Amino acid sequence: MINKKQKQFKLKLFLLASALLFSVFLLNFIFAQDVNYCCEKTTSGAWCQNAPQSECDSAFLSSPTACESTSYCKPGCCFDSLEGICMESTPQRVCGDSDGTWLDSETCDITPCNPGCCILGDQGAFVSLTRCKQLAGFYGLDADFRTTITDELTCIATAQAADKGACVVDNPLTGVPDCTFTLREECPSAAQAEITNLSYLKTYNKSAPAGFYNNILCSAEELGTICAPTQKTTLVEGKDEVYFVDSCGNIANIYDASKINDKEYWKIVFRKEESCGYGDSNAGSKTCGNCDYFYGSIGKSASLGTGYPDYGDYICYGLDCKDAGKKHGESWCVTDSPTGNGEDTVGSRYFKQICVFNEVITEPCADYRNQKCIEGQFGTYTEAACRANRWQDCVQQVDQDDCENADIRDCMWMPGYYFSSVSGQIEKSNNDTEVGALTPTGLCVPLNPPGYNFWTSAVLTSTSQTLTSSSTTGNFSATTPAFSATTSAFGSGYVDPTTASVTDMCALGNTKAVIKWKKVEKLWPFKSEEWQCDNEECTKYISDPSAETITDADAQKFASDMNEICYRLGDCGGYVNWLGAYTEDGFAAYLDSKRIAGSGGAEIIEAASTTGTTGTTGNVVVNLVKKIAEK
Amino acid sequence: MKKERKKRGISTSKRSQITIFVILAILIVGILIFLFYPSIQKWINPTIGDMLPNNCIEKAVKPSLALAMSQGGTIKPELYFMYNNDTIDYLCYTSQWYRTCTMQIPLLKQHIENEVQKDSQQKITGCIEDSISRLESKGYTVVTDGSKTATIILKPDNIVVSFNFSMKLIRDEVTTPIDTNSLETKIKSKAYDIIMIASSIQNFEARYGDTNTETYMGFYPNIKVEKLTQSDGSKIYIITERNTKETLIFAVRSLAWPPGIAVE
Repeated sequence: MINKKQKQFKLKLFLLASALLFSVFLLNFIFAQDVNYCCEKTTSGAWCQNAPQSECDSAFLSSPTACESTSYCKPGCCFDSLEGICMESTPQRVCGDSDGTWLDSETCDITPCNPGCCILGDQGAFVSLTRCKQLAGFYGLDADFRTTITDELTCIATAQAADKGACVVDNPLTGVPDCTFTLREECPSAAQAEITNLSYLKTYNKSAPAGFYNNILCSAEELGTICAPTQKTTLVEGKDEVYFVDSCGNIANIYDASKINDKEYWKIVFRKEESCGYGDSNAGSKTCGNCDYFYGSIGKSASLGTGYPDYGDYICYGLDCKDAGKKHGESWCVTDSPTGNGEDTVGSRYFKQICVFNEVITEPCADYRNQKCIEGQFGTYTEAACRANRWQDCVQQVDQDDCENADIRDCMWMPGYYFSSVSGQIEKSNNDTEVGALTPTGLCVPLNPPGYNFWTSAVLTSTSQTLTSSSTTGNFSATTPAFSATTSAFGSGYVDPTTASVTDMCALGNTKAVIKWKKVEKLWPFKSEEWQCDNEECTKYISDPSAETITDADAQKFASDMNEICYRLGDCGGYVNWLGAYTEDGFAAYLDSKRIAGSGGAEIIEAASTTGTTGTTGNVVVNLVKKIAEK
Repeated sequence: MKKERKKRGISTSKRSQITIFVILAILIVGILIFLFYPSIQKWINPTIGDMLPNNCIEKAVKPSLALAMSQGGTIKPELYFMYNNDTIDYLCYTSQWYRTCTMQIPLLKQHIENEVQKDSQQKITGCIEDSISRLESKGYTVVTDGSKTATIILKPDNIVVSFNFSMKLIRDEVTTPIDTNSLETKIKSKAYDIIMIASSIQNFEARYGDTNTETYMGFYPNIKVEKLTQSDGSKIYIITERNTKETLIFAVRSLAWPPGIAVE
């Protein structure tokens, strides 16, 4: 009678599984058929998307192929002939609608977009020729475009190396020459004279003839112009430092209180590297205006908050984040709960924080722990970045070295258990047994388990295994609720990232161990009967085989071990969320048909609404477990 | 007797107090008039220049620009991400996982110019008509040539609003021509700089699927760039000019990663 019932049940289960698999196959077929449309515009308003046909706006073109293969959505370069900028990956239609010129190169690797060095005065920009002309027009300068310079740094260095000096112009009204500190090409008298030996002028007590004096300041005594040193300072647009200014309003050298009466300092141009406090921010310095944005300061109007310099109205303003104890430009990682060692909590996330301009900016890394934050120390300077969490192929690794190869993946080795290719589920390693390549000594799991959006899953199937009991066989199983559309990956020990569905990962934690004993007759010292282990599982999981039953301690140990594996696979199993709340909704363990741990499964099917980052691990749904048990 | 003196004393001091207050009030009014004399004079007796439409154009254009900039450059976005109850337009978008985005608004500067122009047109027309009414109330006959519209162009450091018409003011048989150049208005704004940085971010997102905001902040001290990655893989970028506090907020969805592994 029991056998008949069991057969009926098995048949029903087979039919159910077949129906589900067929549905999945059908859905996949439909999905595959549907997603391969290129919609010129979708109903949501997006241009050129590969989407299901139902999402294509019927007023626009669509065809059953990838957008890259269509003429109307082929990505190209959209060239803005007015501004001289090139926009990549732009469909022809979108570019045309924006009055741009579409060119057939997705990455804009075409002549109008090729950058060169655009020198505008003493500034350099690595841009296209059209852009260079546009910028020159904006600033009223001549465009000097050099294609021979092929990188931005050389371009900037070249521009900054442009000759700059005193441009002396005769003033017949006063008899004393006027002077402006400017670029050679902007000096109208540049062609008239250039005397490099200023001492000649001083010796003969002459004023300088009109002309351009490279690297000489207008305040140079030898020039004999109307411009003289002052105690005033100023800021220059686009520059970090505080500069002295002469009586004519010309920019002189970087502010240095100790050089205020130094004739040499008011005569020739001193480079930044030759000026006071170079290599430091000089933030708040009363005597030095050599501010540097990269070192954490910038010239600013002096006030009570910034302090006042010894001379002038400007001071180097510090940009460090004092409250956070970080320097300007530093970045570092923060998390909202403990991370690493496979113990990232549900809903937790990595963040990168950056100290810029006295302010801490927080940048979240990708959600679901798809990115992790990494940081490095360079002296006292910390730098961080969000980068991909490479957990995807962890469970495929059977070798510890491969698993822990930090160059290519973010995984950790859990000794003691492994994915058995024979049973298709997690098994305990037996140290007495020589373990071959296919039966490794440990399990490779994500170092930072990924998050899943378990609360939105709708298609649910059970991957639980049936429970049986007999007088000599005790079964216990630990189940991570699985809500994948397929059971194919259940317990296989192998998940192919190209074919696995999101939650197959949780299903990997589903495990069942069947413990068998046998009664052995003992003849000595007197005739008796004794229970002994009859299968490998028994020796692995049972501490005292002669007890003839699975003790609570053994069962709990098994459940606990399995759960530890579960929550390391992602948002699976019973675990804490980022707020520290522990729930077992994602976990259920049974000894025979009796629940021994976890609250997942049939009993909490109504609780599947536990959601979001404040929710807990994988919502569950192993309704079938109970049904099976009841049958 | 003592009481009476005291009484008299009190009333004397009251009177002198009142006198002091009156003098102070007159002084304050005088100072205010002195300080605000140019404005008061403009208000009482405005010049032609004070009554031309370019004086009210800033109020017409700036709110539209601010609105467009707060929504990714579009006044009524069609494809958007909902962020803090605001609809933020996607400048570069893909609905797929693991793919870089397709440009949705390639020429952002021109797009914003058009959007602002469209949105502020009514206010600009109102501004022009208001200006004409004011001139007419001062006895001028106003003859306009061309449509009462304006063209908006974003340039470094300012927004240039040029009117698409010229005016002739006639009073006492004297004609004063007002050409389009003299009507041109420049409104201080750093929108151009912000938009150019946004365009660069668009290109990086389209090619690499991400950007490093620190690079932009390193090169441009006055610019603050915030990147807020959302759960669906969309990114909200907030670019702020530190001095003017102008902000451009836009969305991008590029190289988004699904929860777990997605099969496409």
